[in-house]
Amino acid sequence: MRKPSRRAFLAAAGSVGLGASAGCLGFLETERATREPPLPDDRPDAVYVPSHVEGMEMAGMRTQGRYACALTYTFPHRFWLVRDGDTDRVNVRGEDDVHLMVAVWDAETGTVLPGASVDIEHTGPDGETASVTPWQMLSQQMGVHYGDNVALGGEGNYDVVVRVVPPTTRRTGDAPAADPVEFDFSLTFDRSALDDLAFEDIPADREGSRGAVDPMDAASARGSQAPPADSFPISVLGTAETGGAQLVVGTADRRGSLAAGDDETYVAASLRTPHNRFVLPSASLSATVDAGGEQVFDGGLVPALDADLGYHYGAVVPTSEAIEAATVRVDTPPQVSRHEGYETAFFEFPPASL
Amino acid sequence: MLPDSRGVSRRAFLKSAVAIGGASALAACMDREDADVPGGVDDPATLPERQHAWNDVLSRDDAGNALPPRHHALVHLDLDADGAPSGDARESVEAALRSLERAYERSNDGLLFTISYSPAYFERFDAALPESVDLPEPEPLSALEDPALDEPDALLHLASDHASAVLEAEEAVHGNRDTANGVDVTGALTDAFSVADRRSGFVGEGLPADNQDTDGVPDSEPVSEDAPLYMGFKSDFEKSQATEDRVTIQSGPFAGGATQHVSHIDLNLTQWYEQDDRESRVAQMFCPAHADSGAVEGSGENLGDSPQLDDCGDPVETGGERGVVGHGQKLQRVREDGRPVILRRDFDSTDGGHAGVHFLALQREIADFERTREAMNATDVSGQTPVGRTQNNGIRQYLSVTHRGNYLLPPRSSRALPTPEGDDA
Repeated sequence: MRKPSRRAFLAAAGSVGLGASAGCLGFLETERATREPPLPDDRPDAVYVPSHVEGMEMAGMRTQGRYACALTYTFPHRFWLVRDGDTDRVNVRGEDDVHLMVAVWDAETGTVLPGASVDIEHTGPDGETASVTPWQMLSQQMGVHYGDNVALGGEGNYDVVVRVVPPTTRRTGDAPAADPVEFDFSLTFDRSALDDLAFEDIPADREGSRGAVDPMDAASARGSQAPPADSFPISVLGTAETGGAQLVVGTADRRGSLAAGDDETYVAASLRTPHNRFVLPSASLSATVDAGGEQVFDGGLVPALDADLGYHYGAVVPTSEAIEAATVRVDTPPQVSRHEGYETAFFEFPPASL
Repeated sequence: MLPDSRGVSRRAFLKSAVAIGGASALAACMDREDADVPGGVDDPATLPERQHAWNDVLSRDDAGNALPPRHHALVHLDLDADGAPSGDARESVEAALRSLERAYERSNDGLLFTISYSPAYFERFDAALPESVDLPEPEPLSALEDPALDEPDALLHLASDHASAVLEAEEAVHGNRDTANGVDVTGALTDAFSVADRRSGFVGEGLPADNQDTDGVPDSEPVSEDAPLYMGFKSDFEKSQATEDRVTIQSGPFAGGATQHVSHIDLNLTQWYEQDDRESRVAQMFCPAHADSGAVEGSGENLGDSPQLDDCGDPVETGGERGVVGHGQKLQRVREDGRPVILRRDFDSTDGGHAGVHFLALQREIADFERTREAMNATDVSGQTPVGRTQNNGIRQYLSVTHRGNYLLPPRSSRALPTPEGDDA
């Protein structure tokens, strides 16, 4: 069966709107910010099923050496900025035309790359150029990406240049060059086509309940997923739930170039969303680690990229003995903007002992 | 082309005149402004040796902060002749500059100006600059930027509270006027130079608000009337500026001069004004502790002569605990005797139809600027904390550097086409 479109949703919302507020003709024309279903009531302080699911259009996917980039877009929607432990809700403005999303991943390992610096420059049919520096974001469908609501201008064809300065995140394996890379795309801005994008209004009995919608079948979503605990690539010390997130902590004699010494062990903490297993980047983690009956480490865990573990937080611990226990603290919540369904989770993290 | 002046507010009109420049802008501007601009000195030799000694002749606000002149032009000049400049060229340049000094009082109410020279200019000579001058070629100063590198031979900076004075002085040095402010003009910079580029801008209460109908500022007119700069906050506190002594070259043939870095930065303020709330803006511009305590009222006038960043804490610590670090807080790390090592004389702009900043900074050595910029990049903070390289990293998210240039601002006595040995005519 064909999925319902956003057009169908708007038509339904429009008739309800007119019935509910007679005399408010033109409501939808001037108040485009209302073109989203309301937020679910009683959102839990946890990952929840959002009010709706959106289709999106892909402008293209490009690869340059070790870096791959996809540009997708959909209609503008609300999201939340995160600073420290606070969220700042961003509503759709009347002039916003699209929500632009850029995904960046390691073309060789498939691992999504948080911490990139991304700039989107678009040139419209009238020749006018503007640019936007999107926020690092997390969505249940897309995983980790960079996005923002954008006012484009007139309908027509847009040339888009995405400039990516790759992250300098520590890597367990070889580190590719971090020189800036540019990816060229073009997209057609057509309001009517946007309204034909799929739009699923999630029923009241499901929206707002604990859970998540499924990730889409896309490289960014796959590349955002941390390996499940039961197939974790290194020995699992333990798993825990904290702050609405899942934590898997593993240890290895060495991991790539890290912990290569005889008296060193690599400890990796993988912090991920429940349900979809998306990595939670840009948090601050620390740990104490016990081995041989004594504490052998008390310090920060450093963000790191690994071909199999993906984005995680790790430390080289000075011991050759088996790790017996660890306590992991999330000192600063993941500083990543959130799409609906993630904005109430991942803020208060009790220490996790494993 | 000038827009039809009818129906345009006086201040908006004056600003756009400087942005447009030229004789017709000046003519219309003089009619509108009708300013009584004080005249200059009979004997320019009595003027200070430091071209950049402006603080003594600037207006001050109630807290004692020096207020920059409101209107600015930056004229990029290329020498017409190849090789080392001739004595004739030097004489014309000096005569043109002295004409300005006789025509206008040396103050924000009259005219303030400097002329400076690029590393490319000094390559015309066989001799190298002395070791007492640190003037490298401009280069990108962060991994995230890809600026055009400005290399005109010389840069003339004109500044005044009167738009008409900036425009008239510019016309005079271009050889397009016989008089300036009623005083005869002799010599012209255009006897030796051609104009390679022209940039302009403004700073001070009301002007950013009047000029917010430009790309980079959202349509909601978010820039408040009391804001001296587009981002809404005061930045030229006395205590967050280097002293003129600190930026002055102390020895060698250019003693009494300074180095000057001028960058142009595009501002993208949609997120700043439409997505960030005020608390976030304060946290990013000053520091999270200021946001917590509500230390900043309005544009920050209440802070007096200092942004009061002493209690903001160590940026790495704040970044680790809060995930966000303030712009001022980061720069607090580059201080000597409690003061920064650069003297900012920056101003906003609508050049290119886009909100921007001409970030003009004076310092003894370009290296002083570079380490200040390094502190702003804060790669140690982004490397060790959840703070991103741009995101939540002061105001880096909203800035995009488009141009950079380095210049030597010689002392007044060797300002006319100096040799690397500092010789004048």
